[in-house]
Amino acid sequence: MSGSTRHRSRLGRRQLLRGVLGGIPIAIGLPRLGAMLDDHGEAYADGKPLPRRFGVWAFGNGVHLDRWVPKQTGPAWQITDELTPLAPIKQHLTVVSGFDLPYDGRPHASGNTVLMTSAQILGVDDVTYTARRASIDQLVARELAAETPLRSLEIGIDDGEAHERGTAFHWWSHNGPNSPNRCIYSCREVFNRLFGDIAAADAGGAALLVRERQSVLDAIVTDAQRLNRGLGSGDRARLEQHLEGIRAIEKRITRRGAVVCAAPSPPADDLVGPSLGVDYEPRGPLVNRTMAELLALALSCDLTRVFTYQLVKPGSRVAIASIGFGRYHDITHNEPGDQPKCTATIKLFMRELLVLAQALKAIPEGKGTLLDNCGILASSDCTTPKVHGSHDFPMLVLGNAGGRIKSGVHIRGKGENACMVPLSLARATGAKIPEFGEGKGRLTQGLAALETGA
Amino acid sequence: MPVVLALTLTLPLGACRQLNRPDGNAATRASASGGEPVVRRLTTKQYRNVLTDIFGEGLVLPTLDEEPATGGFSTTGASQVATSFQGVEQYLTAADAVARQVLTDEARRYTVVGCVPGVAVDRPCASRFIDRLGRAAFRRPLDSDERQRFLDLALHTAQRRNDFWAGLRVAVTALLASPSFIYVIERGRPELEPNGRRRLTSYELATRLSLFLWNTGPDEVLLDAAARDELADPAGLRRHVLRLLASPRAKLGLRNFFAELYRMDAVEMIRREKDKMPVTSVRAIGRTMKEETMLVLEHNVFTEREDFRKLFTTRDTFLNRDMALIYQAKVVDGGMFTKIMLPEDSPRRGLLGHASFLAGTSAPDKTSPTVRGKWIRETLLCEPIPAPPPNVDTNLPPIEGEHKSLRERLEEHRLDFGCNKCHQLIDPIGLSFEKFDHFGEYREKDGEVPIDTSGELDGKPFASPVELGQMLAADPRVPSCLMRNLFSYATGRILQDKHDRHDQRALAELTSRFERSGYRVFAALQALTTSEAFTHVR
Repeated sequence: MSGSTRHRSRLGRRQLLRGVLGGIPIAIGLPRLGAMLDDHGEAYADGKPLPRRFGVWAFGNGVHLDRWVPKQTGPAWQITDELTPLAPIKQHLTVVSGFDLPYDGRPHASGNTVLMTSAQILGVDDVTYTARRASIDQLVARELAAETPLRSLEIGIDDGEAHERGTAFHWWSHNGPNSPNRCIYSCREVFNRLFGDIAAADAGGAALLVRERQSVLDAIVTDAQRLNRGLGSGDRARLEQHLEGIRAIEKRITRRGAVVCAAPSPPADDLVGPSLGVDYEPRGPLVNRTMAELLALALSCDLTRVFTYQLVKPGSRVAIASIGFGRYHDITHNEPGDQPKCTATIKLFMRELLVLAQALKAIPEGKGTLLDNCGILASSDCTTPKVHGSHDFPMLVLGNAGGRIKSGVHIRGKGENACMVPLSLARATGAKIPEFGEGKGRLTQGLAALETGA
Repeated sequence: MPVVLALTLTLPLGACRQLNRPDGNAATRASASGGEPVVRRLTTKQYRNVLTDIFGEGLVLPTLDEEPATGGFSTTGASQVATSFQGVEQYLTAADAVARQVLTDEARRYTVVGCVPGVAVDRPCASRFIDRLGRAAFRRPLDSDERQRFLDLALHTAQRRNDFWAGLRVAVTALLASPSFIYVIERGRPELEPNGRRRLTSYELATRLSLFLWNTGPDEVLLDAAARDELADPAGLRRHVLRLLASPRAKLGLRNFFAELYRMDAVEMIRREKDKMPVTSVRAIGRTMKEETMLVLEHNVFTEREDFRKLFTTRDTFLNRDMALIYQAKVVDGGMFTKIMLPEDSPRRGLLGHASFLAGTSAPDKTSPTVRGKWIRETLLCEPIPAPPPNVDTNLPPIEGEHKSLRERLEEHRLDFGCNKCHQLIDPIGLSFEKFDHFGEYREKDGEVPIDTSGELDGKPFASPVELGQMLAADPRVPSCLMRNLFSYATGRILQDKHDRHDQRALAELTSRFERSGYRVFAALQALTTSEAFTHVR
């Protein structure tokens, strides 16, 4: 028998998977995706292809190029020191090196904004910075908006101090200048955002609840529309965005009938608690694992197809007790010589990335896994810890976006625009995005070497 | 000020700014010429305070994203930054959570609603409550359409569920999630005045006053005054300003301003290694440091109502036992703060002698003269220093061989021309404080190396932080900078005094009144809130 038939027989429509979410056992209804596949397991029964997801995974303060960039290019590359934690998923990993950010340069540790917009950073005043345009994840989210209940999901683990002022130093995803998509740092809140509507209502009260919520939203929309009259363009734009947020909620409420997943049990209370604050340990890894599982669920239930996952903020100032005293950003400047503590921190970040990769890999989807149907860019806010910089920008790609992206290779460039990578991954979802960025960052093509052409 | 001196002051700063300028204030300049932003969000603190005022203490308020301090303050951030989709959801969730808590708690709901329903669909009771709540939440009376909308919501729900309180709950959720609650609107009156401005309506002015001075929405007294248009008359306005200033809430309100201005959120996170000194609370030491500074400011502004510039030369401060340990002052008993005067030979004077400044500008294990100098430039003189250029190694050369002072190691900044342009403006200031370590404690030497506390501010030399304090107390930029910051915080609008002549004039006028009052902040608050720039919009 073919593999797909064997695969299919394991997935009964109502099969429950026993799993562990945040340390407590849960029962998850399997996503409909598995049950509604056609015989080959590559598409839905109605012929639509399996969805491809776009994600960005962020860590702070860069890498040491001599310990990160593989010596070999192509499929025969070997794992380097700082990439060692990712060895178990090497065949799902592509390393991209040798590309530069199209970056005029200031301020330091803000390369994330350039990478996400392929444009210069916008200075609100001399010390506050934001994105100049909508970021690539939102370009995808806009096109796919009708497909999923949530446009996009922004998750953060470290909610501590930012390095400088302005939205560019807190968040990677923007809708435009001063319009960030802030991360959610609480597992409970992520849970509620994903499953709140589904979990809340019992069968009887559901219809009533929906009607009531709709009337509340109607009242809010009427109020917003009245306010909007006679305002300047900047104000109107901001109120419009608020209205869009309301409409997005409306859409989710009315979609309830098309629910794909049964909701799992909510995460344990002790994960909700006080913010991570300065210390990454001991709670950070636990929060990371829970968030990774929640994200995997959200993607496999097709609640969204676009995400940003910020392990730490740009220029991160977390302190990691097991590695050494002091905030990470300060260590990057002060540690002399080879910077073994910085390397240890980078490896910790990579271990946390592995957690997400494995959570995605654990969910079968089509012929492979959810990870295969993702195109995730893992990158940072600068090239190296000590000098920061924007040349030879460190980028990893996880997953192969349903066969559209090359996996398991090392691609090395010669100083071209690094933003071609997120553009390729974005287009792999099916989003059109004819152009990306502006000025010297303006792009109409992604990175051909990364694309399979499928 | 003589022209020559002015040129000398602006040239070096100009060169520093040109070196690293991003595209330069494009966003804010655009909004200034096209009209000020009319719509700004309540800050998270204001939002919480308003809900507490309306519904009472003890509410569990769900998380709301803090606004980033774009423009320097929560208020300027709240007027610049758009609400994300997730943020909109948070408001809805918060509104729902508050409505549930208030209206399912029997004791609280009777207190808040003020009438007892006879039947499920009790129109008079619902109507009275919605009118009152609407006025408090929207900071103005509801118009007839609005009243109808929310009343219908309440009564239809009450009927469907046969539950009066459920009806109110849904209406309250809608009210609290409405943009008219969440956003502060400042359109001004329809009539354009000769100077091209519009006067704020009484309700808008009441809101602006209350948000600035009390960090919350206008109370019933102020709303009643607005209803009678009392704030349109200068005497009436002044009366209400004095009433607000007389309340303890004004102290809290101004505390919030100074905490944001002096970046106390970073100070609060300072912690102490256990083995260094027997402070009572290792983790709370940052909050203790903040408290010293806040008490000193409160004392100057409200209790003594004296010259603000004394805060750079005074030996007066408030210490508790832990702070006294850090300052090697006479040990004060207990956790309570007492007012003391440091001895004549103390190296500390005023705010720049506080641990909040000295430790707040340091790394956990070492000082940063550059950061200290930058803080003084930006916070006290309103002269921002741009970030370093990219691809530059900003690390100090490692300590090798002979003992070098930090001053010598920082020479690198000033030998390189590219670095020098900006660093010459900040390092010579910050280096003067090297006898205060990263915790704000005094030390004669840095290890074995003697410390030179001399410095230079725009060409004028000084021998120690004490002398720098005296120079700052006499520097005209300091009062002007404070007024600029107050104005920005109060209106949520970044002052464009460098580009816009209206703002320039407004700032000059405010600073001049500040000076004439003897540099008393209490007087400045009155001057600001009764000024045309505050009572009008463009």
